[in-house]
Order: sequence, then structure tokens, then C-alpha cells
Amino acid sequence: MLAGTLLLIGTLFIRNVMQQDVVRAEKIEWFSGYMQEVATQNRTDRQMLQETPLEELEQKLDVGVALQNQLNGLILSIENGAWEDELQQEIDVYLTAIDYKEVKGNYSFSNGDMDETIRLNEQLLLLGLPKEDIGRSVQPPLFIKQIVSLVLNPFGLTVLLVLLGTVITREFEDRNMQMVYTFPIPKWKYVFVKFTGLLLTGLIWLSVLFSASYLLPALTVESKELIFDYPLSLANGSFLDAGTYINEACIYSVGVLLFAIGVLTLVGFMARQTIISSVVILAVFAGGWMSIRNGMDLLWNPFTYVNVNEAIINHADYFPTGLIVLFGVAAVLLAIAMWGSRKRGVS
Amino acid sequence: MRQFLFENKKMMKKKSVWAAVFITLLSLLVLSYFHFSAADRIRNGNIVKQENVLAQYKIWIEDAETELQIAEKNSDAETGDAMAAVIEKYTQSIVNQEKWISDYTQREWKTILEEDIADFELYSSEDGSMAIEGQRVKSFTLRAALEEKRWFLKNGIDPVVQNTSYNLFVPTIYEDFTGRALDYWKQVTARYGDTGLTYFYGMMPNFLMQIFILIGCFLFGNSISGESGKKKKGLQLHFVQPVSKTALFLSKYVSGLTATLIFVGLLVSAIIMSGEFGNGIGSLEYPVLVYEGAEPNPYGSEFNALIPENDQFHFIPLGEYLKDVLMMGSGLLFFTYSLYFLLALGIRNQSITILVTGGILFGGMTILPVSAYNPFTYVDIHRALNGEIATIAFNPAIGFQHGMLALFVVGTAVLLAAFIGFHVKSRNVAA
Amino acid sequence: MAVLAINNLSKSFKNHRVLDGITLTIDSPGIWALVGPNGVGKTTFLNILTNLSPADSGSVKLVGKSNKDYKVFKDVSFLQDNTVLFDYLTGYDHLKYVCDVHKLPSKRIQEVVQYVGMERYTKKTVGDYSLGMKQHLLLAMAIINEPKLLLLDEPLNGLDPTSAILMRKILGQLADKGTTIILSSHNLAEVDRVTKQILFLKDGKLLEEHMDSYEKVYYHIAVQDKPSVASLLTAKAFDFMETDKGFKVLLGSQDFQSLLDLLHQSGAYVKDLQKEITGSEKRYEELFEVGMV
Repeated sequence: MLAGTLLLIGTLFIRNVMQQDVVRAEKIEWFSGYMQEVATQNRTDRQMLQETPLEELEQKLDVGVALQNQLNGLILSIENGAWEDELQQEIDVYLTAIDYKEVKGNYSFSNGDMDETIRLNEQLLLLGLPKEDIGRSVQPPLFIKQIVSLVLNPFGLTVLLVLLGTVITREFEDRNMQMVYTFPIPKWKYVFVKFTGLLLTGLIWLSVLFSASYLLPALTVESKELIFDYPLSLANGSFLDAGTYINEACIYSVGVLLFAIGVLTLVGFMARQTIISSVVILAVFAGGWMSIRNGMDLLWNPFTYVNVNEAIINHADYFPTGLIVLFGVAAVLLAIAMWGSRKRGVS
Repeated sequence: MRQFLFENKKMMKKKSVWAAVFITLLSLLVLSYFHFSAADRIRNGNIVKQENVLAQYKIWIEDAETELQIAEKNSDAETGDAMAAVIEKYTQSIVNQEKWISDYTQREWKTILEEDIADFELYSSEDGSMAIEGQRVKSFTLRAALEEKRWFLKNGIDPVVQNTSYNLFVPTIYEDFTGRALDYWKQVTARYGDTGLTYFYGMMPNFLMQIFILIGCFLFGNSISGESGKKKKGLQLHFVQPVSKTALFLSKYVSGLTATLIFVGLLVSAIIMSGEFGNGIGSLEYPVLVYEGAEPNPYGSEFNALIPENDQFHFIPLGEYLKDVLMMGSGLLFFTYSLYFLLALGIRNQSITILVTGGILFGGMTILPVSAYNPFTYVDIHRALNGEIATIAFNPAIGFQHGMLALFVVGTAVLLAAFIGFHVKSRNVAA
Repeated sequence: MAVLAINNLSKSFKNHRVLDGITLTIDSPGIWALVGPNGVGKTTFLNILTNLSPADSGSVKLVGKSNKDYKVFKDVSFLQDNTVLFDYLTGYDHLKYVCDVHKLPSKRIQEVVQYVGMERYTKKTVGDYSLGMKQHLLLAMAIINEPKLLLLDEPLNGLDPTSAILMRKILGQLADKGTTIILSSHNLAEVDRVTKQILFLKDGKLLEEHMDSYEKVYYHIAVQDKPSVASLLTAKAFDFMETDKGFKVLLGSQDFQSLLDLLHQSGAYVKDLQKEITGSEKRYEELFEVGMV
């Protein structure tokens, strides 16, 4: 499991490193598309003006030409790798694009998106940080965010639980539990010991996950100063700095792990067979995923937090109350598992 | 044959497998019930939204009536006439709106579709267009949405539930929305099948059948690994009977394969039958969008591009799609089961085997180059069958026939590898 | 035709040579016990004979055919440990399977069930069987085809006295009917009751010995007047040793009657008299240098 995790992190990091030039090329392609859109309109407007001079059209052409020039400048900045110019020029482009839309120009990017980008760029300029592609960054906190999104979700957790689950069910299947239950400790205590053991294993896995995602980029790529202050957009329109994001991600991960191990312990000790417990775990997490997809991403629903990244980005106001939900549900699940095993035999 | 019957008997007598099948089926039905409840909620939400519009009209009429009274008092004929016109307009709107609500509630789609078709004929005409947050909906999508509506109307099919009740779009690969426009587009094009068949169709892009196949392999593909552990050595019993290793291998392989096939068939049937929680099983005539692809550029593949204005599409009935899905699903099942069986020879822990199998399928699908003869290209059955992969890859050879061939040939090769692996393993079965 | 023909059979695990050029031929019915300490390779030897494990070199022929030919199992049966059974199937299911693959009529199941005495629980699932019941089922499965060669790996393990007696009787009857039986065991007392033909497995070699030459008969005598009996035993040159309650006397050249006469002559009150026969155990001690630390 650890080897698989490290392999995933390593592969993803190499992919991100290799994608850095692609990111730049895509940016150029992206803005070139807009430049072409504006240039075409300018050409048409010029022709129309030659036929019938109109003040409105003239005004549009003026703004359009300015926008085209700014887009050209922006593309040059991206090509030259002058990130500060790039950020400033992007702001200028969007301010002009908003004006352009007001004079009936066509610019296929929503005002809301442009406003958000302007605010992000201003923030980055203040911090002295270049803009990163969140899904392909090699900077430590953003790479951690990518890993969190990729691994700490219903799918990743189901895989983890199916692998860990055999620790409980195998003992029943191989009849080792018959021996264990003859030890002079109460059965409920054994359930608790198993829960603790699995939790510790999970915590070790989590610490490897976070440390490797941090150390790999930190040791191999030059980290930017203040990168932990990098602003991340939240669903409510505000920003959250990357450092706080990682703190919340770590804390939520522990909570989610606690909840997941609680589910696993209960299911494992109830089902006692690998096949059945795996199917039940799959059904539980598929159901949880479906509930979230159908708008049940409520504060009290522990599955809201199973996708750690989405919980932080979409429900900033749930932190830290969400942790109480996770801890509470985990405690209830564990209590049921311990209570249920009190008088149950092994055969 | 005797060995095969015994393998089947073993399968039938494993209570844990039956319990797992029952739990899977029950979970599936519970999740389906949730789905249909959600679809119903969204549908009712759409009705409430329109009722709010109706209430708004009534408020506007009341306001206009008040202003009309004031105008009449002040002998302001001009305002009075204007207000009377407003009242008349909104009164008519109320009639229309009530009719619309009644039609939508009763699933009387004819009028709604006719109006929608008129709108889309305009959007997709040379003078018309449609934009979301300043980003244009592509011509391809508009044409496809229009044709889909015409199909609905012609065949008397009900559209599925969407988060909006008018201008029902069909999502296509030609859209490249970004930012808020993308979020909005995703929201309005999310479809919630309200019949068993449309639910199944809607879940296919989410790898529903592939998940069923993997669960099937997990439950039924362990006839060798489950009998060659340290504390379960059933395989050794077979090896000291007058049964050839080939017969033993084939018995174990075929019995598991048959069980997986029946299991997947059962789950697919359950999904379709679960439509009874919603609006019934549905119609096999429901339209399924099929991309016809773009012409490869004669100057080289680097110039290949999708052209939303020119690229073509057509619709096929869901019944035809279902038939192809079941056939290609069987091909994929054969390939996946063989792969699982091969891996299970070396991995005793079935949880690891299933994760490795899933990993290989997913990895092969995402990493390996898309090609007509690459079986992993067909792991995404839905996109392989509706021409999506062929269109994006500019490779018209990717389709049902080549898919079946690739899955069968490579599946057979994997089966042979498993057979050889079994023989190697059988040389030291007591190790 | 030899029932079992082993030629220069060798097998090593890493640096440990388990079988070292073993050659053996058995061409008559009877019972042979395969004896050796734990871990010496008895199960490995039987697994190699039945082709469940490969040998490094050498060849094995069972009832005249190579052990690699699956058809040999028409006439050869191997009773393995009970982990080969399927917990979720009934005893009947197991017997039906073996009966079917041997293409035998179903009535044979009833016959063998009665013969082994497992009528009560054939319809129960094996998961609910005791250790002894499992051994009975394994034996029934092994003899259902009336094999010419029967190999048994620790068949007497976990058997209660009743089952052990039954097992011994069945093996004796099978041998009498012409079956060649090789059983592995480390229960030497049980071995002595079943056969005198022992195959000792030591340092990779197989030593075939007949226990008649090693058989010794002892009498444990509990008496009241120990000194007078001791002096008479010494005078008559009996090989004996003192025990808590009396003496342990080895019958060498003298017979049992001489011992009875001696006791009569001494006039001592004999409280108890028990016979003990040792054979394989003595030989085992010699071969494997068993000692107390």
C-alpha cells in the first residue's frame, strides 16, 4: 500500500515536471484564441466603418484594438517568462475585455470569471508569487493539494479500506480469531485494539502521503518564497492561503480516516468475511458519494468530508464543526462494533 | 463435465458469495431508489420554479390593475390602455404557463417539445446563436439538441429530467466551456434518467458496467487462489483425482466466467427493473447520440480538428445501443475475467487482485495510446460505442467490430497465459 | 509390475537435502509406515510421489505408470491433511465428486459410508465436522475407488480411540484384500499396532526395516516383597530394572512361563502385571539419537 502510494506520488510529480512547458504552451494557445476572436471582430468592424461610419462602432473598434494589443503583450510576457508582467497584463486584458463587452464586443469569458482572475492576480502580485496551474504545479503546497484531491476521496478511501479490511476478516476466515478469543481480554477490548491498530496504520499511511508529497517537490524543485501564502479560490468567492488549506486538509484527513476506520471496524467485525465486507464498504461509500452528488452535502453528513478537497473548497464554513461530526460518527460506529461483539461467538 | 458440475456446485454452496450477491443487489436497489427520488425532486423543483413564475405574473397583473384603477381615476387614458395591455399580456401568459405546468406535470410533452423545437431551430439557424456567460454553445450541440427533440416528438418519447425545464440541451464533446460557463453548462446538462432504461443509459458513462464486471470477478474469479492458500488447499484434492489439469483449469475458468456473466446480467436487469421506483422501465426507442466523427486532415494528423459546424451525428434507438453494450460488455467481461484469473494465480489476496485488475484496466485506458486494436480503448464501452473516442482520436476504425475483435483476441491471449500459468503453478501445487 | 517404483529420487530446499537419491520398490500388498521426526520431509516425500511437488531428480512410477500421468489416480489414492476439504460442502458432496470423477456408480457412496461408519453426518457441512469426522471422510474418499496403492499422510492424527481402532481395522482389511498402503506417522505406538514394516526417513535416505528384529517384550511387575524377587531375578539372570512399585523385566532368552515360575517360587504377593512391547520406538531412538538433556 505504501509502495503504491509512493509510486503514485512519484509518477504524478514527474508528470507535473514534464508538463511545465505544456502549461506555458496552453496558456499561449488559450489567449491566442481570444486574440483571434477580438482581431476578427476588429477586422469586421473596420470594414463596416469604412462602409457606414458609426460612433458606437468606432468606440467598439477603439476598445477592441486596445484589447488586441494587450492580448498580444500578454502572450509575449508568457513567452518571455516574465510572470509579473504576465499577471499585470492579464489584469489589464480583463479590465479592457469588460469594457469591450459593454460596447457590444464579444469576448467569450464571463465577467464573473474575469473579476475573480483579476482579484487573484492582484493578490499574487502583492505576495510576489507567479500564477501556478493548480492541477500541474511542482510547488510543494499545491502539489499536496493535487494529491489530496486525487487520493482522499470516496474512491481512494474505498481502495484503502478494501486493502485494510482483510486485517480483520482474514482472522475470522483463517480461524485465528478462535485462538484470540480465548485470551483473557474482553471481546470488546479486542475490537478496540483492532480499531487502534488500523487507525495507527492509517495514520502512518497518511503521514507518508503528506510527507512524500511535500518532500519530493521541496527537495527537487526550487520552492518559491511565500508559496504557502498562495491564494486558493473557494466556492464562496473568497481566498484561502495554501498553508491554511494544508492544515485543514491534514486535520480533515485524520477525521475522515477515523470515520473510515470506524466503518471498516464495524463492517469487518459484523461481516467477518472479506467478500462481504468489501461489498458492503463499496456500497456504503458509493451510497455516500451518491448522496453528495444529489445535494446532500450537509454539515451533519460525514460523507461530505470524504472528499477532503471539496469539503475545504466548497464548504469553508463547515470547518472545524465538520470534525466534530466525523469524530462523533466514528465514536458511534466503534461503540456499535464493540457492543455487537460482546456476546457473539466465533463460529 | 463432472469437474465443471462440481465447480458449479461449490459456487452455489458458498453462503458468503450468495450473501455478497444479495448485498450488492440490495445496495443497488437502494441506490436506485435514491436516484429516482432525486430525479423526482428535481422534476418537482422544475414545476415549483414555473409556479413561482406564475405567481410573479399574478403579482404583476395585480400591480397593473392598481395602476389601471389609478389611471382611470385620473382619466389617464394612455396609461390605462398600456396597463390594460399589460394585464391582457400577463393573463395570456398565465394561461400559457398553466398549460405548460399542466403538460409538464402530466408528461404531455408534445406542446413543450414543439415550442422547444421552434427555439432550437432559431438558435441553430445561420442568424441565431446561444451563449452561456458570453461563451457560445457550439453549432454541433445545437443541431444535436434539435434533432433529439424531433426524435422525441416523432416517437412519442419523454425526455429525461434535467435541472431546467426549457431549452433542454444534450451535452456533447464539442463544448469547451470554461469557468462559470462550464459550471452552469454542467448543471443544466446533467441528466437524471427517470425510467429504468434511461437510468442505465445515464449511468453508463460513469463506468457502471465496468464496476459490475469487477465486482463479479472479485466474487467468482477466485476458484484457484481460494483453494491454494496455507489453510485452504482444496486444489490439492483435485490434483490427486483422475482429472486432467486442462479439464480442471477449464472447469474452474468457465464456471467462474459463467457466474460472473449471470451476475452482471442480473445487476443490469436490476438497474433497468428499478425503473419501477420511478417512471417505469421506459422505452427502447429513446434516442442515443452517436458521433460520426470528423474527417482526418489530408495534410497530416497535427492539423486534425473538430469542426462543430460540419461534423455529423445521428441518433440510434436505446434498444440498439443496449444490445451493443451487452455484447461489448460481454467481450470486456471475458477480457477482464481472464486478466483477473491470471493475476489470481500469483496473488492470493483477492482484494489486491481486484485492485490490480482495476488499476491495469484504468491505467491501460488512460496511458496506452488509443487505437482500434487496443482492448483498453474499449474499456470505456459507452464512449467507444457512441463514437466519442473515434471522433476525438480521428480514428473511425474504433468501434463495435474492432472492439469485439480486440477484446476477444487479447482476452484469449490472456486466457492462454493463465492456462500456462496454471500449468506452471500445478507443478508445485503443494509448495 | 511394481506398485511403487522409486528411482534415485532427490529433493532439496535451499541448502537442505530432504531426499537424497532414494530408490525403493514395493511390489506386494501390505502396510508400510513412513517414520521420521517432524520436518524431516515425510509429507514432501508423499507429495512428490503424487506429483504435488516436483522432485529435483529421479523418477516415480505408481502402479506401473509415471506419477505425472493423472490417470494413475484411478488406482492410487492419497489421503492428505484435512485442509483439502471444502468447509461449505457436505461429506456427501465430497464423496459424490470423487465417485463421479472415478465414474463409479452412486451406490458405492452408500457402501463406503457404511464401511467407514459415517452415516450420521454425511449430510452435514464439513465446517461442522470434528477432526475425527474429517479423517473418516478423507479415508472414505481415499478408498471409494478401491485403490491398488493407498498413500496416507498422518491418518491417525486427532483420532479418538474408537476411530483409531476402526482406522487400524480398515487398513488391515484393505491390506488383506491386496492394497499396498504407505502411511506416514510419528505416533510410534500406533505404528507398531498397524505394521512391522517401517520406512525410516533419515538424512534424506529411506531405511526399510522390519521391526521383528527390534521387538522387545517387557513386563511391569508390582510386588510387595521387592528384595526377595530382586535376588531371584539376579540369580536367574533376568535383564531387569527396579521401578517405584517393583520391576521392569525384559524377556530375552527366557520365556513368560519362566518369569511366572520365578514369581511363584519367591512367594511374593504380585499386585499387578502389565505387558509392554517396544519395536519401532527403540529403533527410532537408536536412529535419531533421542536423549534427555
